[in-house]
Amino acid sequence: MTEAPAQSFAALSAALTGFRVAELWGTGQVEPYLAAVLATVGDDVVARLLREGDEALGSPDPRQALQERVLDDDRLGPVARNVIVLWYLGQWDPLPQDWRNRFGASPLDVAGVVSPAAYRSGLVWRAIGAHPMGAEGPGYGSWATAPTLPAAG
Amino acid sequence: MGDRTDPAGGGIAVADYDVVIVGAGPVGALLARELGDDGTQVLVLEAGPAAGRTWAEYQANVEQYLGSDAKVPNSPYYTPQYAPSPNVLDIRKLKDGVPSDAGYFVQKGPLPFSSDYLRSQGGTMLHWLATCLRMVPNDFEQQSRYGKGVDWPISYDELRAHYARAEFELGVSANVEDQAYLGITFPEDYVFPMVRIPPSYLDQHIANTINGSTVPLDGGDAKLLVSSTPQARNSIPNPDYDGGKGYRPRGAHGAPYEGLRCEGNSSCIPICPVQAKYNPLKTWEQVGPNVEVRTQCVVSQVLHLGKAGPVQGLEYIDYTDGAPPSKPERVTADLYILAGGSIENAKLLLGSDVPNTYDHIGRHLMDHPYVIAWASMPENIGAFRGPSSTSGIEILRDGSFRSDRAAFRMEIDNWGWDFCTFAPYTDVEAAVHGNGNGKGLFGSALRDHLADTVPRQFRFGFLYEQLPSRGNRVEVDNRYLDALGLPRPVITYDVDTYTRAGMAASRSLWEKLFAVLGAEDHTKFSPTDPGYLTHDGKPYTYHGAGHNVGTHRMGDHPENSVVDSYQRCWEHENLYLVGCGSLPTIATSNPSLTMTALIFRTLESLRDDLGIR
Amino acid sequence: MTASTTTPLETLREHLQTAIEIEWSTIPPYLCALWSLADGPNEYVAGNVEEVAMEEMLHLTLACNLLNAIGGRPRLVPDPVTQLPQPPSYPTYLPHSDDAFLVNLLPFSSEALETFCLIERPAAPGAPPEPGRYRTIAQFYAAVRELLDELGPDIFTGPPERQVDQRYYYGSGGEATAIHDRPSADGALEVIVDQGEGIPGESIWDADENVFGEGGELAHYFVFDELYRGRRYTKDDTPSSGPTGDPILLDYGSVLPMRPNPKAEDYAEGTELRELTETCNATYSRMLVELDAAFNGEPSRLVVAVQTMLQLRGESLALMRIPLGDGSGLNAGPAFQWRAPTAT
Repeated sequence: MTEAPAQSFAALSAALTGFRVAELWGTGQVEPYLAAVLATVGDDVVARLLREGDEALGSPDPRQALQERVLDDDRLGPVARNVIVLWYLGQWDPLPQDWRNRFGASPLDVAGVVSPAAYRSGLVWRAIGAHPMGAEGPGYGSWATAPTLPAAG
Repeated sequence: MGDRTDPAGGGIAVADYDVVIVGAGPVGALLARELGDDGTQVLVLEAGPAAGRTWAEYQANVEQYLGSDAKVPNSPYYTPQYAPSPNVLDIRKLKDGVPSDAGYFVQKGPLPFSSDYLRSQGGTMLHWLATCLRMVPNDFEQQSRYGKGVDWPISYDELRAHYARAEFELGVSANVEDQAYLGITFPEDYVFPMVRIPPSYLDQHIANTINGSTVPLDGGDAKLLVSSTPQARNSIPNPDYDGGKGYRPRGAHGAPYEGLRCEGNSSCIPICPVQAKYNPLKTWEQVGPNVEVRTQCVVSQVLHLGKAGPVQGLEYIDYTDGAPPSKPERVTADLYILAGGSIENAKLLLGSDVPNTYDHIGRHLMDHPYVIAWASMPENIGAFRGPSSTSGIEILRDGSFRSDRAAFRMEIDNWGWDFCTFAPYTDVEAAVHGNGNGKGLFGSALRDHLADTVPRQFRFGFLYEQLPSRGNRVEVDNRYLDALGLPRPVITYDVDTYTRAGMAASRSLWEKLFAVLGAEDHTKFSPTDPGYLTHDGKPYTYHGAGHNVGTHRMGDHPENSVVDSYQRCWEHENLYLVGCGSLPTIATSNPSLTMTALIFRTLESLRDDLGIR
Repeated sequence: MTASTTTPLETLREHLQTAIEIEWSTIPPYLCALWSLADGPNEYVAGNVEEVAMEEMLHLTLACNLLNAIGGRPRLVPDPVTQLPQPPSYPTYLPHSDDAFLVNLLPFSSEALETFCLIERPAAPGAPPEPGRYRTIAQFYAAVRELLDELGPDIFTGPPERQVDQRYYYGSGGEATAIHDRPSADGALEVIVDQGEGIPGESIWDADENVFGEGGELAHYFVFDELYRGRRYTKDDTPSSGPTGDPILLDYGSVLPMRPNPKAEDYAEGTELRELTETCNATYSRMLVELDAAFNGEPSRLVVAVQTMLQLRGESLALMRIPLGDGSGLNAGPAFQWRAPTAT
């Protein structure tokens, strides 16, 4: 594992999601999601993911490096995409069958909302200038005003 | 508890209660409160669980919803093993001649009945949208005016005062000047308890674009007008209400300072986290000590003498999930009221073989088939904010065209394409996984893509009237029983050409509106959709609107109806069948306000019967 | 405190403006304590602290109503010319409290509760208020009552449209009533004092029974006192008996560990924390501007002010979850620093 896995995970997640590191910490989900991913795909895969993530982010063209070394990688790509969905929707999608065949299947690799707090923290709602349906209501009359989108980092 | 004999020793059986009500939903709650306050001893038997007795218990339902994988209408609520409820996830495409047995309903087709309901204290109104529209006067005279359907045994004018009472009980927010259309009248000084819920930005944009314009329909030009939807959702109280006495919005059951205004949580269906939306728990909170409520008690039999005459009693099964159900117990009353919802009421009567001389019980089942057309605006209109629907087009709900085709109302919906495409989940998944072309998006490209596309999503929902048809019905069949050995509802259902012609008319409207708005039409109807049908070569997919009506309709004569205009059963004078099952036609308004208004008319007859004045 | 040439009416208006400043000084500390509980299971505690915070907002509203009723003008934001009053910067002494004790922005903790008890402390029975040296809020309002007595019933000249009532003010705390005469003014003062301290010396329960027709609620002082002592008050307890009810279970581990008195300047320019803290400051400032407008003839502005407050809550919670990463184990938090809006 990298020296500071939560920090590496937050930095990688920020690059994968398009949100700032501080914003991700502000959801309270950095550590819970890291723990969930570790439990589902195991130490080896996560260690590799965070290492490649760190190196990609330290390289001259981080976007290109992430695409090539993480998202296009057979082992890391599907996991990285699941991490993006985890951040955006608060839910885990089962990994593709051929990934499970090659790298291992886990009984935790099942579809579902991770927790009510994870659902509430879904980044999709922020991205679209709304709020999680069923929570964080912006207040009476808010839906009558012209919509705005939060400033991206 | 069995029959008691008269304590004076005369040996005459005295009923256990003055009134027994089956069902602790919205109708049961209001009747129980009113009768209890009159001094009547009332027993309420509810098949489902108790609900929301405290704020904490209600919040547990909210958490259940937030953690649900499939956020369908029943998802926040506990549905016990012995009192199952229909779930929209069980709706299947039907193959000719093969009944679908998935879930609670047995669907014989040809088309699936696509609505659900909830057996629970609080009932289906726990997850309703809270739209509170009055019927238009011509709705009560559909046969006389248009030669279609039947006339009601009462008129709008006779129901008008009860509508006002219902608007008070449910706490309806609307501006009266928006609501007097198509012959709907109000007393001169009438205002609604609260001012209208602010129309959404989307509503305003559409209104600014189309108000006053016309669309070619039925060989003429129909004028268009977007109007604010009256809804049972807390808003700013109107100081002029009730002759200037004003109105105090009612907060949550058990937490009176929560929910005093709609906060825009955007989950009306299936659960308002703060109870700004009316739900029957607020009425249950007002029920006094003369009312006893027993939950998890399924009424299994209506006891009768095999012919017209008074009902002799009810049997019910008291259950605990996970344990074998207990033997049925018997209870008697002076009056019996079935308030379990239209399908459960019919199921119970048919399963008990209650005399049904003119064979109307269970028949004339109707819903509002609900078709959605969806598109993308050229600019951000703030999708996924506010209540599900704050405005609609109501002025097309009546006209001479009703001799030929179904009328409809059009909802403007604020939640993007969630109902149609499972947005925004599917938008995220498609963008991340690359729509099948391998190149998914990530980082700011992903974020920008979602920000650019999803907030522009909008849709229209169309609710069409169905005509009462004997063939659309609920039956029972001993081959299909639930875990208590009680019959499950067996449904036969179709959508006729009158309604399909209404769908065709709405297509003209939505295509014109999308064009005028400069919106990109994304509507897709697929033959694999359970609710897929065609008309004049064009496809439509309908969903259920959750409006189950008609199974014990009212009328002016026992030959053509099950209950009279007070919802008292013609053939069984101590039995009332109340709720949406009594509606003889469905017209186009969401039926809950009418259902509630009828309660106050029914109370006149109940009080007469009970000798209360 | 006041020059002898100031009229009694001006003195009363100054007192009420001071009341407003006291109320708004206490609200950010209550909100920090409350919001630090958001991610944990402490529902009983959070519910009670929230109730107090909401009641302080009601008191703020009633004080503004009273000042408006007597022809005054509440100020929640600095006048552009005089730059007064300045919204508090934490840590702060409460206005006109004779620097009795410092109030900090703290997460929920015994230290926070101690301060809250000091803020809400009931007047000692019979303690006379000393001008400029009010030891408790209760004494302060006693001075207000004396001035009202002195001035008589003809001072209620303020336009009724400036009153904020239950059309726009809603939520816990109770009903905001319009003030237009001495009886309605007394009703408002009763709410403020009795919800805060209870009836001095006699009861731990506030006068909700009389004022709102509901079951009695624990007065603010005793809300904090029972949390501090870790035991619940029962219906039969008194100030001298102390709480004799069930222990209060508090999961301090789930309290968000905000570093006390956050400031935007704690972080270097250009850092994410600096930017997020300033965004939060801007939201707070905007809320004060909207409240100021609402209490100065535009009550409907409360609709937007509530939306802004909800936004402030979301931004503050997000900050409170962000670790500082400096080895302290503490997190960031809302700074509640006033930022004057720039003309756009």
